[in-house]
Amino acid sequence: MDYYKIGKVEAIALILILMLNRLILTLPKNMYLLTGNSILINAVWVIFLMFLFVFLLIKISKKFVGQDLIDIAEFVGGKFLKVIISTAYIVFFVSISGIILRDFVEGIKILYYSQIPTWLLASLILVIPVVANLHGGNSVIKFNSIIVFITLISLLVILISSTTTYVPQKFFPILGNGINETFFEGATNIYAFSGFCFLFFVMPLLKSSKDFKKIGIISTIIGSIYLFFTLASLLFSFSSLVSVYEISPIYLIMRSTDFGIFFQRPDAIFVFTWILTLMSYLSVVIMFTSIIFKKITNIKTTKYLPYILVSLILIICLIPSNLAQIKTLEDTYYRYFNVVLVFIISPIILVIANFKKRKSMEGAKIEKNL
Amino acid sequence: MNNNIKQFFKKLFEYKDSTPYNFTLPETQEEKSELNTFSNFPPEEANTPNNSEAKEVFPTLSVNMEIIKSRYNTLINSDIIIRSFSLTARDKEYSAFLLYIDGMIDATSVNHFVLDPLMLRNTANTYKDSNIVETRTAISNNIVLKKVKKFNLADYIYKHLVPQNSVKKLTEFDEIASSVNSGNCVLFVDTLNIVFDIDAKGFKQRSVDKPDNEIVIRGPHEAFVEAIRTNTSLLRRIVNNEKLIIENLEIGELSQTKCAVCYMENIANSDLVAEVKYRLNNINIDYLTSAGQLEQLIEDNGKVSLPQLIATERPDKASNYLLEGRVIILLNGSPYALIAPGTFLDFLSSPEDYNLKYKFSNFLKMLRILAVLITLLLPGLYVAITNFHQEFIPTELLFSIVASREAVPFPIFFELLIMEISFELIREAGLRVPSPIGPTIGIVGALVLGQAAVDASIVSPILIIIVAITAIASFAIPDFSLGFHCRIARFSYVILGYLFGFLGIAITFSIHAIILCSLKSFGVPYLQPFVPVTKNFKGILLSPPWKRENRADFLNVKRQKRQDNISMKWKT
Amino acid sequence: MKKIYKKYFILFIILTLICFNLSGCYNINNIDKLAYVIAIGLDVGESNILKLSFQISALGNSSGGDGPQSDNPIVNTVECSSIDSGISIINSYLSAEINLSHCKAIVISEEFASKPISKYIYTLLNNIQVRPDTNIIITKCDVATFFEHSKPELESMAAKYYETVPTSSDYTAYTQDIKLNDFFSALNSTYENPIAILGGVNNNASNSTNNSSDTPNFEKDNSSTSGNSNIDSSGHIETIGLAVFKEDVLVGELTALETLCHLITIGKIDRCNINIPSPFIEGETVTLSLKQKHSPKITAEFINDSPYIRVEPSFEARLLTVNENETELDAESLKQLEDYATSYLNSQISNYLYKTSRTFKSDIDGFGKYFLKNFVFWNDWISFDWNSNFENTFFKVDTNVNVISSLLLMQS
Repeated sequence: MDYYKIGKVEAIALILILMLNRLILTLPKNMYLLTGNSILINAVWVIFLMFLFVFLLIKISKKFVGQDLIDIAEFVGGKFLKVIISTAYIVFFVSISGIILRDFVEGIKILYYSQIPTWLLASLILVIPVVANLHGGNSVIKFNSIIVFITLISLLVILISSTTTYVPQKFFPILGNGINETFFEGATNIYAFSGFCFLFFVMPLLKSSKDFKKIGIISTIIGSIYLFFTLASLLFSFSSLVSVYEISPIYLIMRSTDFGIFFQRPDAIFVFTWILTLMSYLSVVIMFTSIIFKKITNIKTTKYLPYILVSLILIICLIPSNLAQIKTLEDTYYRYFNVVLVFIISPIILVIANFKKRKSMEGAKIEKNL
Repeated sequence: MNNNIKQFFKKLFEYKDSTPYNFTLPETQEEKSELNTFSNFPPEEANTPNNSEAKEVFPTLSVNMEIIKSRYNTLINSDIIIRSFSLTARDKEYSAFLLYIDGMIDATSVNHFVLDPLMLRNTANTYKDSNIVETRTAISNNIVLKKVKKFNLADYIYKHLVPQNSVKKLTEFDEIASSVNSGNCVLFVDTLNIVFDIDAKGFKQRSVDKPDNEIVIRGPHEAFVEAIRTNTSLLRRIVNNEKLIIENLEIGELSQTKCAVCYMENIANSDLVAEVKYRLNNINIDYLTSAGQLEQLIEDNGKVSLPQLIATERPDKASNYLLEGRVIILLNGSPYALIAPGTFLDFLSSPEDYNLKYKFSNFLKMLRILAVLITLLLPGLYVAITNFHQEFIPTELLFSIVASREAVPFPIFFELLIMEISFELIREAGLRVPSPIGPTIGIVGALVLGQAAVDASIVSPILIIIVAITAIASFAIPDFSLGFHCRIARFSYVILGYLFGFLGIAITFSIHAIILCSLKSFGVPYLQPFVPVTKNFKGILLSPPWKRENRADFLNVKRQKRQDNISMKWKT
Repeated sequence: MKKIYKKYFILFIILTLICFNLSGCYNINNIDKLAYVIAIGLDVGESNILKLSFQISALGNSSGGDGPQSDNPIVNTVECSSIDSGISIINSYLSAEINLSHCKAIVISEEFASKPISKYIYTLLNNIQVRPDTNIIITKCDVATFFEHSKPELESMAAKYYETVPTSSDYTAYTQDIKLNDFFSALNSTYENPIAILGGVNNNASNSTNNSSDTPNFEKDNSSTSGNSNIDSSGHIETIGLAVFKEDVLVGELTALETLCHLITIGKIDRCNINIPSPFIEGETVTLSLKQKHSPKITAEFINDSPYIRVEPSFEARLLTVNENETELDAESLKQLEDYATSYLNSQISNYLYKTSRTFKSDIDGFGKYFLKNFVFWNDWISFDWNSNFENTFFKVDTNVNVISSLLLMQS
């Protein structure tokens, strides 16, 4: 599949999709349970760390134009590191998708589809990524842009309508569960931005590499705004109920907000948009996984790869036997795997690559002078 | 008398040997030999080699006549006319004949301007001057050298004797046949190995009339007709620029249907034009009679039921697109012009958009988008909500739906399918009903059937409303093909909505969106300008006329700017 | 080519059959086969712990476009041990399945609410169908009587009737539109206690007193609650006043005027009328129409380790009672009116606040959240235990009333 070069808007949509998915699911709840009332301060801290990360990434990527993380890993450690990093990311993407899918399917099963078996629901949702990837990466990217736009609007509607129930005093006590939870352990809350790992892979797809800086900054800003306001809604309106509610906090906000006498319960429409968001996310993940896979194996065509990946995701989705297992998986496995892989290992590789490149450039300069 | 009675009884009980009339067309050659077919016609004779061999015109008139007679089967063909006569040129007589098809030529024109000057003796054809025409004289060393030009009959006839405005010289029989078939008459002259193709077309055709299907209020009321030259003349008059190129092509082995490709040389992208011509030239079919058929043969993706070329019968709409940088394809015999490329937004625009104030056009466009959404989604949403998501409906509405459905025996899904299919049947039947009772059928079908169905408790009143609103919305879609596509697609929404509620609707919507995203029309992504977002992203809405500075990005035209930044100079 | 299409076709048919079978779409209860519950009632059972009642909308047969007129809801009661087992028992009795998506009110009897009810509130909210914006009503009589008398007077549909009942709080301030979600939220909160709408059946007998008085007895107006209001009507339900809970046990009720004070304190008054003693004529009352300018300013601090709360509501008022013998409404008389109104409101609100603090010991106004800023860590706040400290709170009320004018007539 050859991909046409994408512009800024589509790239931003690609990067935001995972974060939006997580926002709709249990991300705000997990963040709140860790930090308590100081969730907003923690959010600001996490956003600040994220901006640092993005600036570092932009600065380093200036030297490696048109290359994604896999190519840089090859530059640093040869084929060995390339294969390791690729495998890590493939395992990461596939397992996370399976967990997210299961979480979401359980949610809608409770709400509307108690009679339909889980595997059928999951398979139905997985049909779309297969169809999208069979039509080519271009369809996936364009479809994703449409869906992200719809999701952003629906989230905005929910968040704005929940401002009527704000109780500003709930901001206190300031430090919530403690300084350690707010700043040190709370720094792991940066896994909220786990979707930004796509930033590593989006560089070769861009029309012009100068866009990369704008893309990184704009997507971080949009993601931060939505994260901040979701957490603000949660804190100011419903903080006491968060620990009690099983299904996503956004659903809680939507269920409790008054939209007027006529639209008494518009849940179904919002759930519809969230199903679309999940489908789009799965399509994007399979697209990126195919790209990474193609890079390490040099296969001629990735036409049949979506089928295999989708089967893997389905298997992983059906492994947990109850909701409690899913919650633990999300809270521990997802959080720490993500933070370590995306925010620790990958930047280290980039920094090493930066030094190595500088050395080789200096070496080349000396040789030239000689 | 006894004999009569005997005869009568004999006839009554007589054995009548009857073999039924059994005529079947065998499918393959083997079948044919097996079947004992009853055929009225003797078996086919092999083609005589003479006809297919002759390519070029012979100098001898009788040979040419034989070739023409066998090629056109003039013994059987009743309307092929061969008019033999004597042609006078330079006071010498030559045998000649005129070949034409009765009913396709303008008899008066042929009589006055072809037969008259050639047959009757007049000053032009009796003028006799010397055979030898001096062209140059050179004198050197007291010797006079003269260069002469021998008399050329073909040239003479061409230049002096046939006062007709369009005369061409042809040499091949294929070209001759093509010419005669399109309504010209061809002049064969003895001793000449060229013929004269004289344009004297006079067949009856429909005059330029109001468009039947694309009616506007404030725009021009002209429409394309079946004859290609009339259509091209309509375009020329509106565009009024010498850079408008109209190239001729012929499609179809047997029918050789004339096709014209029109574009603005200094605006349209050359690659686009080349692609259009490439596709048109590489169609290997026997015959082509309609623009609809042509559209299906050259579009990118034939499997999808979405239209990828715009079809219009209005020359003003076609000219607008022409001046934007698109390519128009006209086909002889079809009053519809095809415009390439076509994006999704074009099918939502009506020709009225440019004539009205931009605010009205934008309002109507929003209405049309709503119509598309209603046509696709409303029945599916109704089924999904009533089956899976009952809490979505406000309480009063829900109770009124339940109360009205009290006596209806069918589940909602079957009720919906029954009503939808009945409406489609009424629509199809309305096309074929003879016109005096046509409108009556519409009224009968819609009102009485709907009301009677409700009274008989076959369907609920609310379902009638939903089906009626869907049908009205599907009529509001300006493009016929897009409307048809929506009508078909909504059934998949209904079925999946019934099966899986909003999840089913989401699945169908996603697949629909993915197909739209992956579709391309002549190299242009179908969902322009939504995705991908380009620099001159104007969006769905029409901007005011004074702000339309640039032509559309996706066409990659040669002349990007449409108007100055300040186009209304009289204001400043 | 043909073989591939055949394969796809067969695959498509198989998939369709699987989908049709497994989706259970033909098993789904579409809207015809459901019985829509308008109100749920929880009462003390005689033979079991819970007596569960359902008020179900029985939609009459309609022909053509009549609509569900003459909606007579039917009431079904069952004795059971929990809400869901009660639903199962009723389902086996009714011809359609119970559906709670359109339930408008949860009615709990006073007797039942005097024992802890948090288990039932949690169970109701765990139910997917129950909407969080269902009203929660505590009745003074038993639930069966309440349902029997809850027949709409001005509306045709019982469901719509329940929707309009609590919205009278917008223009009277004698009740508050309390939803299940608000109740649940306050139940889980560390700085607030829940309240519910107080309902009852209009009892005409309380009006038959022989002595009529010449002087207006606005105390009688103010102290009315559901069940002993002074409305003389055909015995329908009424919702005046609020029921006060401490944690999840009913501890008391608020009268009409106390409800007004409560709404003033939390800043949810839209407009209301109050009666104050007239500054112009002895023994007479004057009615003012109040509109709250903004939410009251509340300051909370610790003085000598005791919580001290200062409430400063401010109003715009218009004079409704106009008398021909009275003096002209000039600046001085307006100022007098304002002073009277201010002192009246101050005393009433103060009485109400001390009642919640000392008698009910239940912080229904949510003052606890104003003390949150004095703590740095959440655990400190939890160990402070606001609920037990509320009874030591001191209050000060400083009302500001601005009487602008009367309505159409000026006094002469």
